Amino acid sequence: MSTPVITQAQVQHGSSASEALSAWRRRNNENVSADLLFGLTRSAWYALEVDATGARFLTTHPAALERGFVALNVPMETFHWWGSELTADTRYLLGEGAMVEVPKNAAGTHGGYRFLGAAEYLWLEGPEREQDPDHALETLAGTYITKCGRPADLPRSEGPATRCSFYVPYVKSAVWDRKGTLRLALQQQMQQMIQTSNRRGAVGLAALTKLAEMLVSEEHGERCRQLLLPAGHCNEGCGRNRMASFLCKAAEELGAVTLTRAAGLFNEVASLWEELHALALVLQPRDAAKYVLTIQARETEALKMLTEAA
Amino acid sequence: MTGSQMNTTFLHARGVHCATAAMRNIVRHSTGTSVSEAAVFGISSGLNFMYRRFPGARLICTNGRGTDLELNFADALGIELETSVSLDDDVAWELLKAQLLDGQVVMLDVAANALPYFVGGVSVDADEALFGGHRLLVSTFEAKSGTVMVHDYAWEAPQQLSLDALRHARNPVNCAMSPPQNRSYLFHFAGERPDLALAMRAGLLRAAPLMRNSIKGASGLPALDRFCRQVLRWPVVLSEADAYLNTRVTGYMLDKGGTGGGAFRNLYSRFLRECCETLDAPELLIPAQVYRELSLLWVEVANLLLEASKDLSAGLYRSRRQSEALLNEIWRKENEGICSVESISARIGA
Repeated sequence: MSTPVITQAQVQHGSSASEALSAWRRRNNENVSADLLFGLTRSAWYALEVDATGARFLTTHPAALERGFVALNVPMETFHWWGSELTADTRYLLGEGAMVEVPKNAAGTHGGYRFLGAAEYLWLEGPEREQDPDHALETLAGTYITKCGRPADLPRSEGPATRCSFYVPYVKSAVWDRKGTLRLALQQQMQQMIQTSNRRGAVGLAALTKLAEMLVSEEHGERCRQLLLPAGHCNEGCGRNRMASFLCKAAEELGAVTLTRAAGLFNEVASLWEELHALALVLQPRDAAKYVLTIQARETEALKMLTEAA
Repeated sequence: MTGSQMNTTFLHARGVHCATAAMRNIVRHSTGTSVSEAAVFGISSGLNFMYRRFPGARLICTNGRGTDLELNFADALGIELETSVSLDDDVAWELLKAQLLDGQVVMLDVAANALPYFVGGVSVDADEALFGGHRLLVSTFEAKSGTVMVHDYAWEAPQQLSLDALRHARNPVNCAMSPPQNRSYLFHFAGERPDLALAMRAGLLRAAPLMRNSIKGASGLPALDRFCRQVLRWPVVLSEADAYLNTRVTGYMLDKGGTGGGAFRNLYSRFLRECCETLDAPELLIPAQVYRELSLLWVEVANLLLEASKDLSAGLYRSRRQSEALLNEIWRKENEGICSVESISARIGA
């Protein structure tokens, strides 16, 4: 039996989905930069989830990988395997290759207040099609696990039941309308930052309002300040540097000068996140809240430019 | 509080296709927004063509739509879609039960011909071949009776299913074609009304690339090309029993089998007409007319296949010359339609 090939995408902190997608396109002889994919997948996002166990702050969108396949018009199947046993009908995985999601949810835990780093992705390829499907998955898991320990340790998401997610793209050569997809992503970026969610607490720009409110509150202030510590470090300015790079590329391709100015604002936002990260140890929560509201104002301004340009 | 009390607000309306009717009903339930089934189909970039034989299956899966409608729909509307798959029936049921008791309406993938109320309504019996890919909504769990209430596109009233029947439909044994594997979809709508114009643009933009990004020749234009060339040879290359089975089922799936008529082309034509107004793009009337004509041609093919399913020398196989001309016309118009949509969507932009 041939050995399955496992390639780890070059992961750079919070933008691993766009890195993984870019690596996958390179495997198929198409050069789409991770910066461009970061924007096309509308990865720049905020969410603040608060419940009895604490708070979780996200700065990139958790569905970025799926969105990337949709943006490139690549038919894809997602297999979220729930349960304690990794039993799967792997016929679909054989010969197709699949991305497997490796969660990093444990990053940055501070007394129940968590900063959620995005998942990492591994690209898996099965052995020959003729092999027994179940055996092949065992091999896949086993090969990966040689680095980590036992087969049962194949990384799963946390949740009511353990979960292991596979993403199987069925098309190697993707046809997509570059300019149209860029314009669509710009409009959808604005939309996702102003809309609400029925399950994630405050999302988009509203999450920053909520974060600022919590920072100045007696009850949450100190622990929320701790929440900010990993943000800049883990996400290159919470991914806003990457958003700025995307906008520069979009400005060039669409001939929209406004986007260059928006890119400048996103760079400023990234820099503010990095400052906040650096100062979070010494800042009073109330002062950290002022940073957050400044970030919100800059990002709002930038988002308006996106809509105009699209 | 029981599940049934939580979901009395859900209003089911009949439709012409399982998934699009279900998504239309969920949009109305979750946001109060009325949207047509044709718009849902177009926003989901549903236009496509599938022609695929699964390993070990007697049936060749043939229909006029694509895959990933739910994913495309959620993406175009910018909402979250939570999907789950499990081969463990107990794990799958516990997850579904928790969602129902939380007041959610959940979409399920099931084998249509494993559903008790489908008997006689679908063109293939469960002992001939089981196939998944059918969608329905489940709104209520009645703990006392151990049943769930499901809403299916063609039935006015909700159907009561025992948990055993549900389990069988969700993960049947020996289901070679599109096994459902307890797949479920939960849409998380935001509080706002969806931006339908933006979603329509997204749907339009993806239609043509999805027809070109073929799944190994089993979808899109390459699949259509293969179908048009191969269907006339079915009586030669398939066993007699399989040829009868496939002409019957394909005849059904290309028109009456929840397509809105004419292999979904009628539905897509109506979507394009809606886009004319919503996006102020009157030029879309041109492809709208092409797809209307295509729907009639597909109805003709479906009827000829159904005729052939009774006698393999009749219907589509009576005159090879005439059938070839019909299929060539379909191929020509399908290319004309998709090229027209492609150029207009590029012009009006996303």
